[in-house]
Amino acid sequence: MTRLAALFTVLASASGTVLACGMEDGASVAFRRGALQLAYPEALHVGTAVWQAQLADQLPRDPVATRSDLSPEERGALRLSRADELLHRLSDRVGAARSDEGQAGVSIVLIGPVHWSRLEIHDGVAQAQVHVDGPKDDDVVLVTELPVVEAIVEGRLDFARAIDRGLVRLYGPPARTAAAREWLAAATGG
Amino acid sequence: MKTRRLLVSAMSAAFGLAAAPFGHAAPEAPPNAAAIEALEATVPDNPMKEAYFGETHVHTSFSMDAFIGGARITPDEAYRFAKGKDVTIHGQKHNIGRPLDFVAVSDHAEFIGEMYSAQVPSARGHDNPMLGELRGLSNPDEQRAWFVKYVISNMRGENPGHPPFYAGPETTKSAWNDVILEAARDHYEPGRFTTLAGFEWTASQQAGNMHRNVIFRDLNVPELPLSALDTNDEERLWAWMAEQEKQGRRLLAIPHNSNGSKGFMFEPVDNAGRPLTAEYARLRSHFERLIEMMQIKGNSEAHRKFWPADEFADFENADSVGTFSGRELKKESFVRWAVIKGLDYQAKLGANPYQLGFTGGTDNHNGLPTDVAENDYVGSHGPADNTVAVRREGEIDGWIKAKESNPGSVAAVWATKNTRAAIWDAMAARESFVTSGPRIKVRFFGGADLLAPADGKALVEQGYRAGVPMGGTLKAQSKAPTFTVWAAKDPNGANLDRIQIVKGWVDANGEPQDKVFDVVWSGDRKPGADGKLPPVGSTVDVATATYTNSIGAVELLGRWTDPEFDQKQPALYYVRVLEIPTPRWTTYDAVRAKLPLLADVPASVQERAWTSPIWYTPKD
Repeated sequence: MTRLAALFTVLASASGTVLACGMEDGASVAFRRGALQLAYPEALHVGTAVWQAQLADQLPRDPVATRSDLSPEERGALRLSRADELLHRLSDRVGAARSDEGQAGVSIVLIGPVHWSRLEIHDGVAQAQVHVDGPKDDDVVLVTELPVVEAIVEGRLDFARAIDRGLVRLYGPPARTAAAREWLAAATGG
Repeated sequence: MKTRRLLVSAMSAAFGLAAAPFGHAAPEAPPNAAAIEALEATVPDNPMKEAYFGETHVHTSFSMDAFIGGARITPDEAYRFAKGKDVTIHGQKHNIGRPLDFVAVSDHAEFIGEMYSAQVPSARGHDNPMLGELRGLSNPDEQRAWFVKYVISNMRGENPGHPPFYAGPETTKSAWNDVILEAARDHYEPGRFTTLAGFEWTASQQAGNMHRNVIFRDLNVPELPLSALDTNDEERLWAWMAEQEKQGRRLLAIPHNSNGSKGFMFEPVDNAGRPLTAEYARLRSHFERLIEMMQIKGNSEAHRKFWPADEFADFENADSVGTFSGRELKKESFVRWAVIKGLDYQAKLGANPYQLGFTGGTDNHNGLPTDVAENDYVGSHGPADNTVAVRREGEIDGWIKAKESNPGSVAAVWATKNTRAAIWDAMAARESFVTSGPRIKVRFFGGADLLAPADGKALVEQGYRAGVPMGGTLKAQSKAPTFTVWAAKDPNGANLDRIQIVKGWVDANGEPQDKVFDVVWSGDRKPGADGKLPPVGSTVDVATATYTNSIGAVELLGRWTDPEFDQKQPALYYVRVLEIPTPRWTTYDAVRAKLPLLADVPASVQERAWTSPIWYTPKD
């Protein structure tokens, strides 16, 4: 983290600004979602592609959205728990695939709630860290939504098709993103 | 032209924009001023006037808050969209469906220079380390902190100022002249599509909304727009406008979102705390000819809480506007209260600060002017409402729950032709109306002895010959004034329920009073013993988000005489036209996404149109 960025973070914290992911605190999530677009151009296109795929019944819908008996906090907690489960399953799935030792880590951001996780390679095997603060400097960043993760871990979608259909976008230096794409596609049969 | 092309390619490079939206052939070089005047002169005048629909409130990538929300549509592309071209919005191809007649892009004046520096690699300041830092921040917390520190806090302080990465007024001039005005020059097609030069002056007082859109009659404009960084005081805005007038320019200001103004929009004192004076009232009403009645952040006409007797006041009330940023909904923030209170000032000061005609707008922050179709809504504020999921559960930060927002309203004028001067003159004359989305046409005339017209054509001819149109003033008369009204449904929309006239006056204590009269309605309904007309019914099927035009009327025509006229009492009258119920955008969303209807917003609405008032003043 740069010195200036660190200063801003300190300033925000000092002013009492809550910087939590959108599943815990929705107050600032739209702003944060928009801000992602600066670092990851067209990241918002993923959200549109996902809901259009849902309208076409090509992706699962959010089961919590139909639960009108739940409070926003309860909905957030259920989604967070579901995200944890699915991202760990994703890690298990891609972790089974061999990867080059030089493979960069992959940070996954679910753009709706701005929820970050990381896949790191240790001894050629992926390990998941779910719900982290953000990407590490050298990470490839993968922008998607939870229904895409769900479809992938359940074997109904592979990464290559997800990328082709705009349901997943990768950001980073071309060589690294290509390597990440190859790794993830191989791991999911794409 | 050259600059715009530069900008397009620069934005594509700097922010990874797809080239496709900018891949259209550029319009031919715009003609010079003399050629424009010659072109305008060839457009025939219609003395009976025509209704033109448009937008005076839309933000593009040159508004910093829109940009941070993901807006990448430039002023040039906003005009293209208004003329019927496809755009890509958050990855989705989108079309307005029906082109507009006129548009003013109204980017926030405050940071257009910064946005020029940020988006154009060759611009001064583009290489400022802080902007480089912004572009390089990949952690959203850091990005958010960056904006809180340099933009948001800066704007809400006592002395708002430019952020430290501002590269000076040359960048503001470039944004204004080479981007915003250049797009207006390029896309003006007299007789077919009018572009108006404008900007938003974005002042806030203690988070109360005091914003105004400033609209010019032509491209005789100042070198720089005035921003809230220059002055946060609307009286100085009017003084600046007066100075512009002295230099031969013509301009007006349109306040908006008075519902979120915490009562500051129509205060009984000026900014120094002194009671309003005749001079204040004259200056304000000279420049503020219109007010925006409704936009995505709610309907400012009236609120059900303050007008419980008005059965149609419960329309896009946007209650959550009163819960964000310490705001509180107050009766004194609503347009109906203000225009009636203006009668009190007229009586006491001899001048009315709130002699406001009515107009519409969206306040879209995604670059899409008048994108108001309820059945094709793509949101208004980028990541805050760009998908069904976030529209149902999200918030437009600091303002409103997304589900309580709406697609905004449409500005309309009766003008002799579609040219800059004719459209602007109609605004200045307050011969304007606003709809909540449909392209309803409505005429409204007042006079001493207007006869019941045989049809709409007769109504118009008589109205201009023997009466005054909406926005006009009736002078003292002994007989009760008569009003003639006509409305036609949107050709692509729903039938009409009724036409109402809202009468306003002040009581002996100077307090605003009002009464709503049903004037003409569809079907053979009869008012009950309580004087109320039975509801028109509803054909809405919420399970399929459909309705039918099996009820209501295609056209309504009527004449009304004020039964409670007091010749000594100042009054005003405005028309409200109601459609039959149709599905709200949230219902279309729910059906398409196979989700349950939201329990806390209405499943259907009665879209509507409002005309500017006609005033009655007993004294000449």
